[in-house]
Amino acid sequence: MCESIECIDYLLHEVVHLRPPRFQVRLFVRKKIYDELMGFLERKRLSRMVTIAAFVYQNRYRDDIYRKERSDPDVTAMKFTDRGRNDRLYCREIMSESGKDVIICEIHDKKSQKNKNKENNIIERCGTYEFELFT
Amino acid sequence: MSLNYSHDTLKQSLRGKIKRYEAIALSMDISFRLEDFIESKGISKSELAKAAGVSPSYLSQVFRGNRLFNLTMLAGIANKYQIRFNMEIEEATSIKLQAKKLPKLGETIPTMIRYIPESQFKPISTDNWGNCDKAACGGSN
Repeated sequence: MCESIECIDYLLHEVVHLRPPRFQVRLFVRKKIYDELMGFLERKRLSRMVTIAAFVYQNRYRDDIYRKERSDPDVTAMKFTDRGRNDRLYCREIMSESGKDVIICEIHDKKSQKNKNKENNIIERCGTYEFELFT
Repeated sequence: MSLNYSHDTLKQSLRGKIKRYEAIALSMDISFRLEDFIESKGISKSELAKAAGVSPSYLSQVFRGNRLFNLTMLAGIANKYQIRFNMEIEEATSIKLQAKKLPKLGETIPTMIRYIPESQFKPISTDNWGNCDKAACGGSN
């Protein structure tokens, strides 16, 4: 089934140094978790999101901030590890001729350091979502 | 509608701390450039920290976006590696510019047409026109 998505580039467009990206990157969220994501970011996580967005928009990766998952390189994880929490935003990256679309698919409160069955299932699910992207 | 409500609340939180977020993004921009520089020169992060006059863990926090670069750190790096940080001041391309109101039907469009002197036109070869895919070339017949 095709998942609906919402572009969230507008959220951070007031931060001048996040644009224009050297490499064309667009940030989306799966519509089903839009409200959940807004709630998640409202809880004092915007500064962390700005750091992560700097990596995403510059097409960079770093293990402790934004990285590709080993089991599926099309799936990435945004890491929110501050304030004693270990939350993840699992994303799907879709490459195109014009650049890259990053779609936030799942919000997850990770309980352990290593990926367990729960995380592996989410990563697998993120890899199988189908999206209708527009140019 | 909850979707708009969340968006507005988030926008307000963002506006309230825009200077802080701008500083993080600017610091990250510098750290990306410095990472490229030390990678190309084979300099380790602990060497860079020493040049910046901070501990490796402090520099690591800067690269993670938890702390910000300051000018003293950059001056130390510039001095050690004999490099110069150039600063350019330019207007940022704003998404708002794209949201320009479109003229109504029949309304005169403001002068957007730029005059290009004939000398700037280059002749194009017409040799391959016969092989042109009409749809791709925008041909109607």
